[in-house]
Amino acid sequence: MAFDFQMPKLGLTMEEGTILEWLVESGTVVAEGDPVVRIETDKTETDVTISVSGRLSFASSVGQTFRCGDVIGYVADGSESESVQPLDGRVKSSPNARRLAAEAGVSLSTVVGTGPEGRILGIDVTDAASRQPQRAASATPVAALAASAPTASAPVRVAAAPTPTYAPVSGGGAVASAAARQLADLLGVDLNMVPIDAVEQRVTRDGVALYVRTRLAAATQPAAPAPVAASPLSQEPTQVVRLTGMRGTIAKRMQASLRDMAQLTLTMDVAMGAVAAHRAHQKSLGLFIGYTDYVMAATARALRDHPRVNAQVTADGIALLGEIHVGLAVALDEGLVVPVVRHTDRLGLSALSTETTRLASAARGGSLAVDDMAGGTFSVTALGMFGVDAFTPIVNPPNVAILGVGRLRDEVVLADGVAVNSSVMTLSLTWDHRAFDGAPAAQFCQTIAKYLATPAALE
Amino acid sequence: MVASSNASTTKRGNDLHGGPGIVTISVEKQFDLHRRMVRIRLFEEEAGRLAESARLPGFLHLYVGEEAVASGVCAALNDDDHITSTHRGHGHLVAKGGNFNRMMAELMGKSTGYCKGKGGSMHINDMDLGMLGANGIVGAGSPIAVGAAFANKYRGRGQVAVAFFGDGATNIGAFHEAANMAAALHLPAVFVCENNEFGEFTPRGATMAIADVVDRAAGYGMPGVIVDGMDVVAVHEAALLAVARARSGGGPSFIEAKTYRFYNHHGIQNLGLKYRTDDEVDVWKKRDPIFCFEDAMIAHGTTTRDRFDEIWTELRADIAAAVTFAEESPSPDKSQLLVDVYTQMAAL
Amino acid sequence: MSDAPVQAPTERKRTYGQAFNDAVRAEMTANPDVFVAGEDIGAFGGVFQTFVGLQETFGVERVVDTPISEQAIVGLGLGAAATGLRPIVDLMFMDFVCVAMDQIVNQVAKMKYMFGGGLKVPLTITTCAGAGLSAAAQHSQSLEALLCHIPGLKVVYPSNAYDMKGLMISCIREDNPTVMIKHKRLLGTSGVIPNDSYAIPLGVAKTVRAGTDVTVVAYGKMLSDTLAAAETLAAEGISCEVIDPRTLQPFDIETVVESVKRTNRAVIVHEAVRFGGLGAEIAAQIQEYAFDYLDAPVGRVAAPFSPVPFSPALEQYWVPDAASIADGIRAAVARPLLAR
Repeated sequence: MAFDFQMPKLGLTMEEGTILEWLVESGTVVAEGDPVVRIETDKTETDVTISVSGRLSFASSVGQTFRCGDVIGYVADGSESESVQPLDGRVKSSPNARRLAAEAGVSLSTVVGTGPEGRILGIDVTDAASRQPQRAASATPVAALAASAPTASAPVRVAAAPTPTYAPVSGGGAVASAAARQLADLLGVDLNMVPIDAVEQRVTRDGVALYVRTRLAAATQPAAPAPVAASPLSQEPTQVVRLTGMRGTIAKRMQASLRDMAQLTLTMDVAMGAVAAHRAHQKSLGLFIGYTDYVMAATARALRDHPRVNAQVTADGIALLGEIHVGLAVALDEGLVVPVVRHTDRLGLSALSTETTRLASAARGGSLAVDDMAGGTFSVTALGMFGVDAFTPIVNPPNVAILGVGRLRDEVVLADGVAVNSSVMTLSLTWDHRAFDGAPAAQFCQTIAKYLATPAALE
Repeated sequence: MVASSNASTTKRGNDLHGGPGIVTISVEKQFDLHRRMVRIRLFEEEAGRLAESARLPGFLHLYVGEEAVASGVCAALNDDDHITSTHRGHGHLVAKGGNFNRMMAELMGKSTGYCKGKGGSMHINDMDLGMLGANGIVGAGSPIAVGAAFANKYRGRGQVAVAFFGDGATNIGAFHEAANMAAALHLPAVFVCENNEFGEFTPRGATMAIADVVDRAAGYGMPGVIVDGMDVVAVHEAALLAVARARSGGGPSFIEAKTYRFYNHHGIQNLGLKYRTDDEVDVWKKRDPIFCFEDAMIAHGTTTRDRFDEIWTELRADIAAAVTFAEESPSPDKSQLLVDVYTQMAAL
Repeated sequence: MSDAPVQAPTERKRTYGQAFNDAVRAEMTANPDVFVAGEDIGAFGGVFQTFVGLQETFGVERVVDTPISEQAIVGLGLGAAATGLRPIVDLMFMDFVCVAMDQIVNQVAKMKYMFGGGLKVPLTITTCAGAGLSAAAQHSQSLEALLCHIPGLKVVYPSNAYDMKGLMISCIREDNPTVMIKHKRLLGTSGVIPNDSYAIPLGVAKTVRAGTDVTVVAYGKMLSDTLAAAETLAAEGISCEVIDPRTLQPFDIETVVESVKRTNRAVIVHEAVRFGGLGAEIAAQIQEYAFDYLDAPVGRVAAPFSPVPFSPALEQYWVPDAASIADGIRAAVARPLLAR
């Protein structure tokens, strides 16, 4: 009996995942609960555990992206273990394929297998041999992967790829790193077809992975609209950052947000003197609470007072959400994640601070759980640490609003006709005009300001 | 010698050595019986010496001491009658007329042997003499003898089949099945039990609750008789009766011959084995079937010691020639390894 | 009224069991050395009626009812065969082979070789094998692998009435010991077969269905189930070449290898349990002789490793059927990445 090991759905919004790394060898006997594969979703990288015990065989390769529920491996229980062949990290090919390849002078590394676990079969070799004349022109070995795709006969071009410099094709083969060779072997990629990395001056592992992902994307979604504007490149870029994984997700989600909502932004200065004094006092007690924590605490309580802001626009109308979970945008090298502080309005400053510290640390360490990022009803994003006062955040769907936190600055203000020094911060609220209008938006900001004026009440 | 003609069993003790039977058979037959016994004795003792000097490979189960049984029975048979044997089988083949050269060559594993070196001591046979093989499986010969008996009856040529087996073999299921089937199908068979008091190294009394194996015959509805297995004439007379019954359509009979093996289960040396006493062996050796028979013939005035000396000398020469023949014979070639697994068939 | 000459039909419809009976009857008529012996085979005609009517024709001397004594039955056959007759002895159920194992393995199979070749053993042992009748663990086994393992024996397992008659005639005429295995559930299946005697040579397989994608080896009852599976798979675009070895020992590996070199895949089907079954031997030989032609591991469809259960509710899962055979073949031809 064999069980399908599927790309898991790790959250409500997860639709697909990319295999980053197998944590075990194919053919390994795994136990229920063992982490076996690291995947990249639109939100995070995560290690996936397996829910049955048995011998795990891969049906997928590193770099491939699958929809949730697609089979990425098989787990055979003991009853059929004799017939399961372990994949020991090399190209699997049947004896018949090897014989035919030797007879036809075809290199197996140029053939893509269609058998179980990607085993190269005899017919794969004969197919490849029959394609060899075109290959000299522009067809590629990975094109065979597209054999079942509608545009199989057309050579696939990489839409956004730079004019690649290919490794010299000679008897010695391409100049490539050992890791690149290993990956190319695993995926059946001809290294000669992979662009040379401009910096390393040889084919790199990333290069191979990018090449395969691009091919797969092109082969399996030939009719899908290009995710980026396909304007011609005005010059040779120094680097192309691929729009996959987290970067791709951010691109898609932000573009969709702007496309689907009626967004506008207002800014309001709020006095932070009371917060500064309160914070200094807490610091003297050994408690470090960030300004953003004050804003989040105030915002969460303001959301209780303004239910329209803690809402979601649905087909049926504006759904007011009872629970308040405020997300906090955390910048990472590769992008942005928004971990969620659950029931933010019920947390005192100290507990809130502890939670935001944990989430930020987990985000930077890559150890965020999927639940840590699910269910946000409102978002807070801060750029004040970079000297920004005001900006126009983009609403994080399916929320209806997001609050930008600016720099804390000292300003001279008139109070009762007297010029006094004051700590001020600018809040930037972007909201979806479909959900509520400008006045309630302003009133919401005022409520936040009110709470920030009496920080002791946030404790 | 008495044997019942119905299913009841006749028993008699071991008190008739060299008894009256000796006057009832011809002098010629007396020398025939004697010659068969001496041939067995000489072959077995030479084989034992060769084994001890490591010139014979494999197991060797010697028949010395039991010569009267095989000789007395086989002297009652024709060449086209059949026998099945045990893994103490050389004596049966010699008694049936086996060729020393081919026997000795087989014991040495040579290509000129009875089995071309593929059978050895435990599978020695001569199909031309109706000897259907020694057998490495205790009790397995009896069902085969039943088959031969069936064939003999089927063809109606008056042949019989004799199954030799030991006391221990009567404890195995195959023997029971064979004896019962022979009786049920009324086959021309004779069951000859060589009761030598030991099943390998365990005394008979420890493995069966009856004193006389022949008691089992009644359970098959088969006439049975006990004879002195050290008295070749007694054995021969019992065999003549049983064989005659079988040939005439009277069905199978059972003969229990009380006898003794002078050497061990296999080999010659006692090896300090404690399963029987030297005194017990000496008692039986005093009843040596050959020497006692010679004494009786001399005492009866039939012949002289000198005549016996001539016979022994003549047969010793045959044995020496057989050893030379065997040692000078080639070993089987590797090419013979897969020959005779199957009979090659012409297209049907 | 017709003037057309009335011709005697040259063939007729016979069941597998009748075909066996026809073969025995024909050879007993042709050769007075042939006789049959076994339990209940005389007046009763055998518990599966495969010997019915023979005693009427040939008498009690040639159609012999024996005691329930499997060792002695085989010994009877061996002793008679070694002394010139051509016996057929019947072991009612294949499970009872075990009762007679010493005679079969240590005596019958080896006698010619260990005696130096100076005799023939033209003995045929017949028996009925197979599950599917709720006969439980001691009356349902398929033990052909045990027998095929023994040098000196030939083992024959027909899958249909035509082969039964021709193979049984060959067994009787064979100068070596043969074991003729009949499958209980095939006894009532029928085919139109020639009235005359004909011999099918032992050790020659038959390609029952030509195909291009996978070679499937099946025998006995499994052949018809495999053909049904092949029909199902044909509709899915999978072309099965089905080979019936007919004789299991000696095994016609040449025919199988020639086929595998064309199809590049092989599946072996048998009703016996999988571990140590004949499929293991056939698979081993395929990889020995056609390794460089294989596109997939050689597959096996066989019974699970348990005694045969009694309850129909369980037994149906024990015996391979067309569906499980089709599954096994699909696994061997699977190209999961083709669809991706």
